[in-house]
Amino acid sequence: MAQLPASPLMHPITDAHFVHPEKHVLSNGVPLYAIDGAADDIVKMEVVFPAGRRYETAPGVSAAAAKLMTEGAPGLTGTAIAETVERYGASLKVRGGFDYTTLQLQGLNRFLDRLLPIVHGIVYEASYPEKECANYVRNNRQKIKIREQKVDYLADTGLREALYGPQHPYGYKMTGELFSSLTRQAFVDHHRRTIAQSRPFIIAAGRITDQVQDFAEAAFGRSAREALSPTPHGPAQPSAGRVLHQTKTGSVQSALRFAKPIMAKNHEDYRPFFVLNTILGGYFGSRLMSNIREDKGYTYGIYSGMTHLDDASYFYISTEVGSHVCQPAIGEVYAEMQRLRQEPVSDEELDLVRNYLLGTILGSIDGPFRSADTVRGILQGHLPMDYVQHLVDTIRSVTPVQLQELANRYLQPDDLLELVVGWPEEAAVSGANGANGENGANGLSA
Amino acid sequence: MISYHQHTLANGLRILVHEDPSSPMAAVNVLYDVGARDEDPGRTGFAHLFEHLMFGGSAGVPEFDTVLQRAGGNNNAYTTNDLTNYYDVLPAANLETAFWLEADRMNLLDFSERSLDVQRKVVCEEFKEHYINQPYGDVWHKLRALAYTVHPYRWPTIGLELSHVEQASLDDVRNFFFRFYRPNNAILAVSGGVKTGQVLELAQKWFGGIEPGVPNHRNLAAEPLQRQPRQQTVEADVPVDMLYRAWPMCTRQHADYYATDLLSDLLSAGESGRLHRRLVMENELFSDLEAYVTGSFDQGLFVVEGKFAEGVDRSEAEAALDEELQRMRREPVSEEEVEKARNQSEAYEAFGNVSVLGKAMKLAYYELLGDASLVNEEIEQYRRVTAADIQRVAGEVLQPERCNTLHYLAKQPVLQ
Repeated sequence: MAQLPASPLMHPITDAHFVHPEKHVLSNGVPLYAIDGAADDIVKMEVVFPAGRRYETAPGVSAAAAKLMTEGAPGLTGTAIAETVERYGASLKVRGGFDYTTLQLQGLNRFLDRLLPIVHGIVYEASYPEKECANYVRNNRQKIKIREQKVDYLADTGLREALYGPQHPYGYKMTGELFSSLTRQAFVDHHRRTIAQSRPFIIAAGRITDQVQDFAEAAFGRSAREALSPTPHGPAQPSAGRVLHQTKTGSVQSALRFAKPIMAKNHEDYRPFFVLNTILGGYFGSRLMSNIREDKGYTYGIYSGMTHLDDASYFYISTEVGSHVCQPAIGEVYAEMQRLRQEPVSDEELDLVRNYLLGTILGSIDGPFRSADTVRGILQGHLPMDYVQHLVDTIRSVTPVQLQELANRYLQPDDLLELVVGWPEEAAVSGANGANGENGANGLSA
Repeated sequence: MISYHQHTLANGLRILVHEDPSSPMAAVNVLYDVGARDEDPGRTGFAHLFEHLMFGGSAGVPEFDTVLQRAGGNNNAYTTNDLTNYYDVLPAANLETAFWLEADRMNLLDFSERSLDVQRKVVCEEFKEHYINQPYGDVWHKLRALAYTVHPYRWPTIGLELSHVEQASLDDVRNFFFRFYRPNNAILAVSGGVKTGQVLELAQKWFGGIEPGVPNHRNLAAEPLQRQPRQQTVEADVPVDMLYRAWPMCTRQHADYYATDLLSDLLSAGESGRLHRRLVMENELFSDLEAYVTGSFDQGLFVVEGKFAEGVDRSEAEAALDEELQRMRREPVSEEEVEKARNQSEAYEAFGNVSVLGKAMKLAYYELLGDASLVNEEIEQYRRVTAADIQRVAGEVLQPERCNTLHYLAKQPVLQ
């Protein structure tokens, strides 16, 4: 084989130059953040309304009202809307979330004015035709049956229910029954109370021309729009037990989740904790991935992360592992957290993570569309626009001592919910075999 | 429009460079001309397992990921039935690190029993996560076996069964590497905040000394012309009855590929596709229905898949679907529908040309397809398709006697 040259010099990443978006204000006070810089004549616009689960009056209404918004407006059927949008090479989607409902429009600038009547129509007077509403309910009752067969879906929804309780907007699970209880009138009421008159923020990225600003003004800027308060709800009711098991017979893999409430993004501990999370499970070279995938082969992937909502934030660890190695995998997860509490991270590992994260940040502000995602995260997190620079500073300056302190404060096993969906009894039995002799480990347990 | 420079090293490695001075990042994409179709029928899933092993260390770099992450980069790879593609994205200042890493593993992989042992298990967990522990997870195992009788497309990339992956040996790994992972069987595409001269210099410096292998000539069994419809019914513990139909279609390189792709778009792209509007929204026979093409390098498949709506008569729903499909053969589509499909492909291409990685991947892909310049001819190819072309390919592809039908049904009656 060829003798290759000596390894090249590596350049440390010291800075990430984030160009702040240009802020415009529409006539009614709605802010528009514009990020210019595409080679082609294209634009992607996101209009983010306070209209998610937190603003609904009954479970499932906000998601349905979002999805069905494009199914009709005065003088326009759903078919006509879809055909016009697609005829101009555009895409128009509305999706509901926990806090926000986001209208996303992307396409070629030269056709924006053709889409104005449609966007205006669905934003102010979406018609929610009976037939499409009934269709939505029926199809989602069917889809939920498929999802309920999947251990990862059961674990993700089970986790939020355990954290917030079944009555909480962040905690409830959709069921076939809940879908059946949805009514057209509830969608209309929700839409008129939120999308039609609440104050969104808008992010536009691509080639920002006058066409883009005129479009935003005409579609969202001409009527009064006010801030909206969330629907009042009771306090979160976390599950009483710390360890939860849900059996699903016949699962060759089990879904494991660990979670606990965590600080909001604007808390002083957040940025150093973000680095700690990266070390634990936030990238491919993380402790959890190196141990549980690359050393033990228990899983195809394991990650940790934080979910930040307007009124709550949680930290989680998430993986699917062979059911026969469920118990040893759980043991390794706790062992990795313990290691972070007991031993300072080495300078070598921390340097690697610093460089990795700085490279990631550089990527997150590369080009208008990636920058738009970053801006959205900043706005939803109620953070200042120079947040990217603060994050860069923290990544460069955080110390092993600080990280160990944070691990002791935030990564205590007794504070963590532990949830297993799959086949825990079987896991307990063959887990012992897996630990003794690894060769049988990959047999399909039947 | 992606402007690029092209060069081939003496050892056969093909190089493509696209400069994007607005980006602080660089994407390095290495495509190897090997996929699951090159596997031995008794050792399926090997190309994909091998992809995992490419991260297990090479002669001069014990830990690929660690070095790349230290340079501020990240990477991934994927395997299809046709090809295996690796990519690294990192700050442009550290471009050379990616060259070092990619050249080192192309030069000589570290054939380690330990890495093989771990990755066999990881791939088995991937197999379980995506193909066993999911409702309908094995549907492509079944559909491929139905639609292909001799061509290696009859197995999916993950492999026919877990045991094939479990039996892979270090000798298999070595042979595969020296047969397929040679510079003359690879394409290197670089895009981002880089200079062409700098990239070509680095390519010569790092890859220039790597010895070529024996050229690999594919001689895969051609699928015989299908003359009879085939049908299979599977009953399993799934919640909803599903229908899959697959017809043989032309290769990705064939001139009719574009018309066939637009045919599938007219039937189901977006919310305004005919199948969605007529059979899901209007007649409520299906809860979900889509049509797409596989875009395979050898004979591909035109696929329609759908979920039957609750409580419908399945044969009635299928008859209505057949009627929609046969109408594509009988009647020309309107000029507006074709224009819609064209505008959509223009927007799709423009949005796809934004990221540095997207551009590097496209260049390498089109070079493998035959010529990198195709990357800039794609929109024109779609623009040239006429309503008559679409009707003609519908007539050729959607023949009832070439249809492969798979019913994937719920074992117990679905309760309301």
